[in-house]
Amino acid sequence: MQEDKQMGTPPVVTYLTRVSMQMECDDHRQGKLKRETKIDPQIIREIGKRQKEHADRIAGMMDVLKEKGFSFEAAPGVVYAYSNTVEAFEAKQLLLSAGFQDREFQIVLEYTRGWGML
Amino acid sequence: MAGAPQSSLPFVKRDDTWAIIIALSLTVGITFTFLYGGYDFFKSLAVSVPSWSNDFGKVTTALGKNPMGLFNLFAFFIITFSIGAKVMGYNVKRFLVGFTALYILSVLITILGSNQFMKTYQLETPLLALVFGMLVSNTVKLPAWFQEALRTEFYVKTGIILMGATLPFTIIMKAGPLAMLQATIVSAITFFTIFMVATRVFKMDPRFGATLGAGGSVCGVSGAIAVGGACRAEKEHVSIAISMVVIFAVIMIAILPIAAKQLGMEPGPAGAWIGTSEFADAAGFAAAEQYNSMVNLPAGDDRAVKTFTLMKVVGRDMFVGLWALMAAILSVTVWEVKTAVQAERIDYGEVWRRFPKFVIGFFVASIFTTLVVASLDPKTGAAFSKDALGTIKTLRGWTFTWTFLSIGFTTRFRELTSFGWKPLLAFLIGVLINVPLGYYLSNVVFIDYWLSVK
Repeated sequence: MQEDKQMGTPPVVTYLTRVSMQMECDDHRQGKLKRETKIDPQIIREIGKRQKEHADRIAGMMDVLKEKGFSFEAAPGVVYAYSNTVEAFEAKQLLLSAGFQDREFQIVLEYTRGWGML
Repeated sequence: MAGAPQSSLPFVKRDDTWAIIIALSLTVGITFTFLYGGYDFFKSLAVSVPSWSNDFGKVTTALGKNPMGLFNLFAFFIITFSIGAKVMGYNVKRFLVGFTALYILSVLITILGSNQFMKTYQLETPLLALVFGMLVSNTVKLPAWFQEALRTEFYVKTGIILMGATLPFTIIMKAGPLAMLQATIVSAITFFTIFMVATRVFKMDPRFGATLGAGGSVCGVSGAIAVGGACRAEKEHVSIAISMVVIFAVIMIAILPIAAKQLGMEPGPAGAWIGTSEFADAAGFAAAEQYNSMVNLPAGDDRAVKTFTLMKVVGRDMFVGLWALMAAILSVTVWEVKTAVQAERIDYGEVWRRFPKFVIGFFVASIFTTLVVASLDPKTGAAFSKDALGTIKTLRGWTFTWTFLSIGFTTRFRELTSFGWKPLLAFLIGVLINVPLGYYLSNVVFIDYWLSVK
């Protein structure tokens, strides 16, 4: 059983903070490139540029989170960052203060009871 | 990752899954062997202890009639629980030793709790198990091997699914909507009372207020964890909310059955009241079983436990995901003062992720046995209900005894998080509204419904 270093007793709860970052940028997801779109090479270059900027933003968020000890996992179309030492509100403050926007990430916080109570 | 939450674990590693597997296998096994032969083994598991006073011989005679019963009961559950324990990653060696000790204690507590002298002091099996567990765990450091077997959630979920097998689906369909209505009225009023007192009067963080409110209204520790996670409450907030729930849940196990008896409540409304006003499933089952024992209902009459289950599991537990979603939306929009376009995306999967999956097993078990009874001729159906479902009821009783012992052994007050008077007062005000309101709805407004549950 994990010991709470500050209190010297088992913690009442433990937690897992998960930050998910979608690899697809918003423009693409919202259907900018549709079948009926008049397509030309410039549009594709712009999409590529936006995708690169988006990927750079994700890498930037990963850098920020990595400094705080987050571990990473990739799934199709999404990068997950996990921590059980940085709380969700701290992770959010960290990302916002580094210049990222709320819409660029999604945070899921899962608590687990520390011992078998009720 | 260490300490990974249940909802992020693979399906086979969750205690919900193993509770479903064990309880449904037991239900199906009992049903098929009852109908097609080979029922003797399962019948032998139905070990029950009669009431006794100075005639201990009555107990030995009853147990002697089923000489392999206690061994078979132990063997069945230690094998099935250990398989689950192995897959879920518990320390199986410790679990084996710990469960053996827990089982022996449960037999002793059941025998002692069946004694008339103990009953005079309201120390029937549920309360006795709880009190004994708390006395020991708050005075002695429990060995690690024993702690490994204190799986309150695992045992209570198994018991709830077995409860489903004995609860006709027709009753769930009939009383379920009313349970949802009553639970929603009480949960909503209690939640907003705690939330408003916490945030408006005591100026506490809204996330803290919501977590406290969920703990005091939705479904205890599970509610606090779900809503606390959804609104990104701090660990300290959730720890305090859980500490509140634990303290008040234990107090309510003692108070609600006595109050229900003193107020002359019938079993149906009493169970509904406990289901409305207790904070946690396991504690509520302890209170409902305690009430059953205190009013000396005839063997097999478990109306209070049935109405408790309808109210708590069907009326309250199922909706924890919706409460969590509501908290998540409020958190990223209202509390962070952002428009829907600016705000962080909401994960609507929250509703399913937080849904207590063992409830599915509860419904499946109920539907299965209801269909079986409906498909049999009246005579065989009656025999099945009395004998096969009687065995399931007895086994459910044992899983609850392990639950009550586990509650006692894991309720270590020194390990609860210390808290100030503000959260205590906010929670207490919620309790003071919840309990009378639950009584009024159960015993006055909807009394006819709860009396009709047989």
